[in-house]
Parts: sequence; structure tokens; C-alpha cells
Amino acid sequence: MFTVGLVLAVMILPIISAISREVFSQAPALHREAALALGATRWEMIRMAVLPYGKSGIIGGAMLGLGRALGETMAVAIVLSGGAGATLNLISSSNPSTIASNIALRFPEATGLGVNTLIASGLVLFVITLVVNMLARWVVNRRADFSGAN
Amino acid sequence: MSTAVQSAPERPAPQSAVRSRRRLPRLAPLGLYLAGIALGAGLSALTGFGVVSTVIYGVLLGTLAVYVVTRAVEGPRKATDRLVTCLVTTAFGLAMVPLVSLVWTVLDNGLPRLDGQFFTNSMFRVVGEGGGAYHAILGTLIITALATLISVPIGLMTAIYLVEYATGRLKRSITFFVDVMTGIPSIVAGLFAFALFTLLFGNDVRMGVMGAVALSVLMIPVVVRSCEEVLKLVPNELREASYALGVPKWRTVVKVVLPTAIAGLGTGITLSVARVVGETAPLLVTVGLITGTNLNPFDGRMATLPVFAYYQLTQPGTATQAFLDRAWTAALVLIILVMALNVVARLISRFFAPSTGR
Repeated sequence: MFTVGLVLAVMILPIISAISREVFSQAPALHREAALALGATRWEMIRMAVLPYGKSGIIGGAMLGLGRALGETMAVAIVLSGGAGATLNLISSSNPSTIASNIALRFPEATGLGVNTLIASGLVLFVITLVVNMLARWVVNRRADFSGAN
Repeated sequence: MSTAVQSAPERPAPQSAVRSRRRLPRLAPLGLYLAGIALGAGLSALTGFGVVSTVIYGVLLGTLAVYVVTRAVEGPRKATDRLVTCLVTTAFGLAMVPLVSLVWTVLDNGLPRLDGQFFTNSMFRVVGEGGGAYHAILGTLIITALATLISVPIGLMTAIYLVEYATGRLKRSITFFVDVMTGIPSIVAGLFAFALFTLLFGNDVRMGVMGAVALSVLMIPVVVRSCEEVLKLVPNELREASYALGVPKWRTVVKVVLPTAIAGLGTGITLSVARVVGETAPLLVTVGLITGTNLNPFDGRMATLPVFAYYQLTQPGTATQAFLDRAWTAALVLIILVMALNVVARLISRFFAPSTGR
């Protein structure tokens, strides 16, 4: 499971950094220049002008990355050899599968009620990611509302 | 005479506390960092030389050296600044490691089978070595083209509606849900297409167009988002000038807004194609895989590159190495395809960009 966690971390890293970059580049240039003009070093400028401005954007980006990781299918299906049991041990050899990879692995051979079970688990996954994404968008958009004031 | 005048306003140079503060030379932090890395290499050599231990020791020692020396010479504020610079650079390097490693691994493993046979043969009646991905490449192209055909008109018109027509709550809720839909798991889109076609055509139906529908569910939100951003950039003066000439709204959109934004639209659509061309899960669920070539997306299973790579990897036959080689080469072809699409997007935005001359 730990390996899959690392793989997913690598996969969502570009998303988080892209969103954070966008948020940082929107931080008002006047604030930065003012901080620098007052004699702040570059890190002090970032900490006082850029980070407070982009805080909600960073959180939102991280949650969008979380949503992407929740729905990631094939990487998990290939790396994780998922079993049926549930365990919280990260580095044991028996791993519980994820919803998405479980669907991908079982679906081609499923028949009858099995198909319905898998589609129902897909619905659960859909609801979870929907909630995570809605929260993330809400956090990001809340910032956008008052960014025009400056 | 004149020399006396010039030498008259001679004052003692102001030596305030701020100016007399010592500063490190410009290249000193870099030199200290490199010295730290050299020291790390020495430390690593003590315990048997290794690249990984060299980098870890070196980065730690270099950061420490920069921090300590800067703190001693320039004071704590500058020292914190340099420390953070070191940390941020290290994080960037750490993020680049998987990317470089991925490209290198795929190139290394995929190049041996990147030959003519791979592009001209299908897997029909191939159990061991040889064979190729002719059927999978064609299947990917057909299904992606169908998905583009479905999602570009819908996505583009939605974007036009959002920018030119919609107002108030409806607009806000559509934008919100489009945003949310960009993050739905790809396998859920596949299940949706499967359920839809099972309802329409009965059980056990497998068609290429199912995959196209699943992909377009993933693609439409991306198209809407990128087209909306581009259409927002079209200056309002152009629209108003058009209205002032008595041109109706639809004609303004078709003749003024769209031509102005054509470069951005092309780029956005190409990038969204690149986004879905590598999707595995929805195609695995809906289209499946066959070994022969099927060019008709409305009848039977089709092969696609990602699913092909997946099955070559997970279900190797007797000649395991041949199957693994084909999987790597399929992954390499897929990466090349996506990179080519990105390059095409760049070219579109470059060649169509100066639309002001119209």
C-alpha cells in the first residue's frame, strides 16, 4: 500500500503544483514590490505577501489532487495486488483494494448481479469524489470572489 | 580655480551601520553549497560510494553550510532567506526525479521493439514473439476521433452559451458543475457509458462508440473550461462594434468572436484530446480488447493502446519477455502521441495567434 501511496503522490504532484503556481502568479505585484521595498528578503516577501493570499488556493489545489488520487484506477490496479481482507497495515503483503482498481480488475469477468455490485461501488466512489471536488472548488472560488478588490 | 570649487563640497563618506554590514560575495552561497556536496561525496565514499547517499549527504551538508555561514556573516534574516531558497530548490529537484526517471525507463525498455513490425502487424494469431500494435493504434485513433467529434460541438457551444448568453444563477451553477465534473474518476465515466448502452442495446453489448461516449464524458468539461477561458479574453469592443453595425448576435459570435479566439480554441481542444487519449480505465470497462483489427466502431470490441499495454503487462503468455517488451513499446508510442499533440497545440497557438490583423 505504501508503494501505491508513493506512486499516487508522484501522479498528483503536477496537478497540485500547477494550481499553486496559478494562484501564486495571481498574488498582486504591488504587494510584493511593497514588501521588497520595505527591505524584506525574498522569503519574507513570500511569507507575508504571497502565501496569505494564496492560502485557500493551495488548500483547494491539494484537495483537487486528493480527488484525482481517489479516482486513480490503472496505476493502483497494476501496482497493488489487492485482496479481499481489510487491514490498516501500510507495509504488509496483504492489501485491501481501492474501489476504482477493484472495478477495473473485476469488471471484464463480472456477470449478472456482480456487474450491479461493481456499478454500485462506482456510485459510492462518484459521490465521494464529487463531495471532495465540490469542497475544493468552493474553497478556491471563495478566494476568487474578493481577489478583485485589490 | 575650478579644482578648488570641485573639492569644496567634500564631505566625509556616511558610514552608517546599515552600509557597513558585511555581505557575502555574490557567488559565495553557490560555492558553499557545492563545497557541501563535495563533502557529502567524501562522506559517502567512506561508507561505500553511492549516487543516492552522495546526493542526500551533499544536499544536507550544503544547505547547512549555506545557512551557518550566512547566519554568521549576514545575520539571521538573510540566513533564513537562503535556507528557504535551498529547500525550495531541493523540492523542485525532488519533483523532477520521477519525471526524468519515467521518461528514461520507458525509452530504455520501449526502444528495442519500436520497429516496423510493431506498426504494421496486429496480434492476430500471435502467441509468442513478434506481433505489433497496428490494431491498437488504429483503435485509439478512431475512438479518440469519435470522442472529439462528440465533445467538441457540445463543449464549444456550452462555452459560447456561458460567455455570451448565460447570466445569473444558471451560469454560476453550470460553471460550478463543469468544474466539479473535471475531477470525476475516469472509471465512473466508463461505468456510465456501459450502463447507458446496456439500457439501449441490451446485455453484453461491446462497441467502440461506447468508449467514445465514455471519453467524451471526461472530455466535455475540459473543453468547456478551456474554451470559456479563451472566449472571455475576446475584447468586448469587438462585440460592441459588431452590434453597432447592426449585426445580429449569432452572426457576431460566428464571424467576430470565434475567428478572434480560434488559436486559443484550437490549443484548448488539442490539449483536451491529449488528456483523454491515454485513458485506460473507461476503455477497459467498455471497449475491451481483441487481437485482430476491427475498424468498425459500431460493431464488436476494439483494441486500444492503453488497454493493449495493460493486458500485455498483466496477462503475459508463455513468452513473458516478448509481452513485456510490447507493453513498454505501447507505452512509449502513447507518450510520443501525447507529446506530439502537445507540440501541435503549441504550433496552433503560434501560427494562428496574430488574429489582430484580420
